[in-house]
Amino acid sequence: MVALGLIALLVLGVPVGVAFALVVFVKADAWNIDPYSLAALPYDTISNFPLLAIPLFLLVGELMNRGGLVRQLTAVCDLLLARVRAPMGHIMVAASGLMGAITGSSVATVAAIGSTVGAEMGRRGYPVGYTAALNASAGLLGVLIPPSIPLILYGSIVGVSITQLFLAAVLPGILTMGVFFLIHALLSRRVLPGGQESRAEPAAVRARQAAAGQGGRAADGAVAAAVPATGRAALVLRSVPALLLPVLVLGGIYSGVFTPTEAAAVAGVYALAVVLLARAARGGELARTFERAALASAAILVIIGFTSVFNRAMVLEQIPQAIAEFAAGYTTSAWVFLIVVNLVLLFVGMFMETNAATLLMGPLLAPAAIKFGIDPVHFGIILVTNIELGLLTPPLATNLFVAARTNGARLTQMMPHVPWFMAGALAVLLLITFVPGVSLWYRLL
Amino acid sequence: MTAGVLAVPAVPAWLAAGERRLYAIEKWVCVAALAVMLAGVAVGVAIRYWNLPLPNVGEWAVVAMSPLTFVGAAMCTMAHAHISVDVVRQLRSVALRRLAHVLVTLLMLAFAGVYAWLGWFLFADALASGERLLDMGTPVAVPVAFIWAGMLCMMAHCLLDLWRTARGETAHLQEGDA
Repeated sequence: MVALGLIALLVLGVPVGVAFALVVFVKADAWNIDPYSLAALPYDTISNFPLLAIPLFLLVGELMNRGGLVRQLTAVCDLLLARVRAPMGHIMVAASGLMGAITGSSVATVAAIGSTVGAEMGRRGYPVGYTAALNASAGLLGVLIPPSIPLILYGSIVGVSITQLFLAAVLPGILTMGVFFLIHALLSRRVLPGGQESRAEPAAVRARQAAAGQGGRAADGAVAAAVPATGRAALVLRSVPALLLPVLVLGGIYSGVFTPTEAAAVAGVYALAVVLLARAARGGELARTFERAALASAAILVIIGFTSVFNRAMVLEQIPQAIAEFAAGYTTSAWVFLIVVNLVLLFVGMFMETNAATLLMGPLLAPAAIKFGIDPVHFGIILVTNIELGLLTPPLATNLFVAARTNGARLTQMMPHVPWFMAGALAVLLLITFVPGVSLWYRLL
Repeated sequence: MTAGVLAVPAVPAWLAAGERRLYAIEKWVCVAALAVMLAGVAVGVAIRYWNLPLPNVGEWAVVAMSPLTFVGAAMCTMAHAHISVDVVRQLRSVALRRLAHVLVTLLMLAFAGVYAWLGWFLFADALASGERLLDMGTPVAVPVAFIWAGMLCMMAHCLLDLWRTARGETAHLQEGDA
């Protein structure tokens, strides 16, 4: 009944956090929940230092977009991949990976990369549906490449080292990126007229323009090889502020200078300084940048805060223990358990926002996983990788919606292409699930 | 007036202007909260890294989560920016979409009402106990007050939303319109 009521509220369109809280209101008596604790719980949940990383990373994403840092990252990827066939798609994947290494947010990555690389892909002959599908799929790297907001949430709620989780996510992230490169290489032959982009040059001319301090459109592309080394060097030099950001974030975290939350703040101050020094935003524009980040943060924090009420109810009702006991009684095989868990998580991911699903399913399933001898770090990577696939699966497919809006595509135009990327991501998920070494590689060093 | 819609007067201009002013205040509060978070955590890093003789101002960053979440919830209500499952919005029938919107807004109103009430008790308790946070001694009543304030603002937006929907206005149903 509770599940049905919850699904009914969600399908009706009640905001996710509100729907979860309303279910608990109705069942508070039956579940012996003190109504006064209903107000204290969301407050206690969000008053948590690691969670500060969410609004701060979203702010970093907005500031990067405003300050032209995303454009700089894209230009460098463009330079590196200029000689590859159909480079813009590869650039979208690589730039999403770089953006993921800075913001830790999938939605921020989709919005930032879609608004910069997406437009250029359109000019080079890619169908808008394909561009949006690739944008949405590559956005998954925002979560998989550390730092990652869902991994921070999982680590803080299950009690696992966030730094270990980040290290564990490196190889799965790179694998996913490789798979997306491969899928784009294959699909681009089909979606592009003649399998080639209509203008395949940009690195060369952009490099020359960058060296000359110009903007504007590029001409014919066959001149890539003729770009003087000084032009390329000038482009890289101009992109140093953007390239330093992932170094600052990841270097700071792994060297132990600061925690992931502090890294978000340092990156925010750095991006803000770049915006101000580059005079990329005046007072009003800067305020609007903060506003957009605040709105996106609030929408996520409302879910995190109010689903905590439901999580508490589940704990009081001993549902995690019941699931663990059911799983333990149903099978003694860790493999069967992992298959069942993956199916459950894929289903959950279709209906729940990534952070809320991580917060709900992490404490629910991690104890059972540990009972089966599965390492909690390995399980965290499985859980987050699986749930983030929900960003591509309707009805709650946030990446698809954001990519559609950013690229001006319809969902029906995207749908023929999304399953290919989804299949690739699922293949990586299977590898992560059944080969623990993919996640726990850092312990072998 | 649209056919099949209740014969209700338009939202008075002063009330609509008041709501816009309220939204502007909410935005200002949330932007300030985000700025405090950024500054608080960054200064905290500097204090630790250079071993400065200052208390941990990171506490203010955590306190700022409360206005960003609860006042932000009201801001999301006005801007239709809450994250929700997007099934009903795909329906072709305008009447069904409007009905679903009314139901959702009523449920959000009930939710905000309950939380405003609970938030008030929590605030009164925090005020009476005089409890303070450890590092900077910030009264707990400060962040807790934002639960109550945010939910009251959310109620106001829900009520005006219902009013407009009852008149058959649909412009305010677009996401991110505010």
